[in-house]
Amino acid sequence: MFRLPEGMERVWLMRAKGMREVEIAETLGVSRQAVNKALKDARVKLFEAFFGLAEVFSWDVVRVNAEKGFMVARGECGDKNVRVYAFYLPGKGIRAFFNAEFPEYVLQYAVAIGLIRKEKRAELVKALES
Amino acid sequence: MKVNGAIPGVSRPQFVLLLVGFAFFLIGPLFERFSWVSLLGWLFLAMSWGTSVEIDGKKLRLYYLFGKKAVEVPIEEVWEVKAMNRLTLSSLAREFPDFFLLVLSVVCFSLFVVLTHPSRDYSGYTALFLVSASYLLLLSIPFGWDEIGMLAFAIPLILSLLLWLIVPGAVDPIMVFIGEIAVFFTYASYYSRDYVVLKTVGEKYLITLNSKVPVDVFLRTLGGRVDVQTP
Repeated sequence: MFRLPEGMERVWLMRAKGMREVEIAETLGVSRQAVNKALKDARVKLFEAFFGLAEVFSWDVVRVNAEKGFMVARGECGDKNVRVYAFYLPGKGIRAFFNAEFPEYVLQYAVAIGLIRKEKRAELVKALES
Repeated sequence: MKVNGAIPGVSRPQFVLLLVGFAFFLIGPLFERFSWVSLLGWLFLAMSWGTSVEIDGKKLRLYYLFGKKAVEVPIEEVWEVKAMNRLTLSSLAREFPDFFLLVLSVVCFSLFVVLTHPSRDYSGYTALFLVSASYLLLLSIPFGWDEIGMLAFAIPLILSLLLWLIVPGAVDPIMVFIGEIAVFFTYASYYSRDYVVLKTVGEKYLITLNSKVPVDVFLRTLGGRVDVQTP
């Protein structure tokens, strides 16, 4: 299972929640350069993981956002076209959902990282599809 | 490595050239003595057009100015990629509001000229108004609603009818016909391409791909060039 290293994940999550690099550096007591490098590495790893996932399942990539940690893709399930939404969830790794069937914890997480304001599926789909 | 069929769209230096080009192009014909200025406008517009895209190690180079200048985008600083055509609610107007405002100002300026100079000498502005208004509609419509994009064909007819009701002298049927043909080519070109948006911290880049270059190949090339060590 793909997971970001613990320290890197902590820095990445703070950034995903909207903290600036300087604030992260002050909070963790590290240099800004170290934060910047951790974020760059996290972005690269997330891109690789999402693209890798899409390639394994033959999904067409639609959108990859490494800052908030999500991917939108389209694929086929039987003879039906499906929309795939994948999220990198800290502590859990990547989870993919078909046709906007998001569980509550994904909606809560989306609110926590500022992707949406209210825990509504339609709002999350709108944010991901625009 | 050159990415065949990929052309850079809107980036900051290109936008500045586009802005200057449109300014010369629009204002030039209003002054008989200085109509050559509009040729200068064409030159700036041509300079703003992207020529090619190259991936060199961890950098993406977007060439413009006849291939002489390039914008360098460090791939590891890209935090988002979007294949615009595949998103149901995305539109170029929403993604590039400054470009939308530029086209909107062309629409407004050409309408202003048409209304204040309603003669055959200025009928070029009528065609420009009709085409730019249709293009504005295409820019605003989300890619998932491409059927509504067909409305772009009706725009020249509707607007020219309205113009004719307000200022009959401003509407030249030949210019309306030319405008309609231009809208046809604009529509065909707009929907036959794939649009990829790359976002870095504080910057956004548009890359257009012709139908011969599958967007997946481009995205994978982009992703595959990043040197990653998995944990």
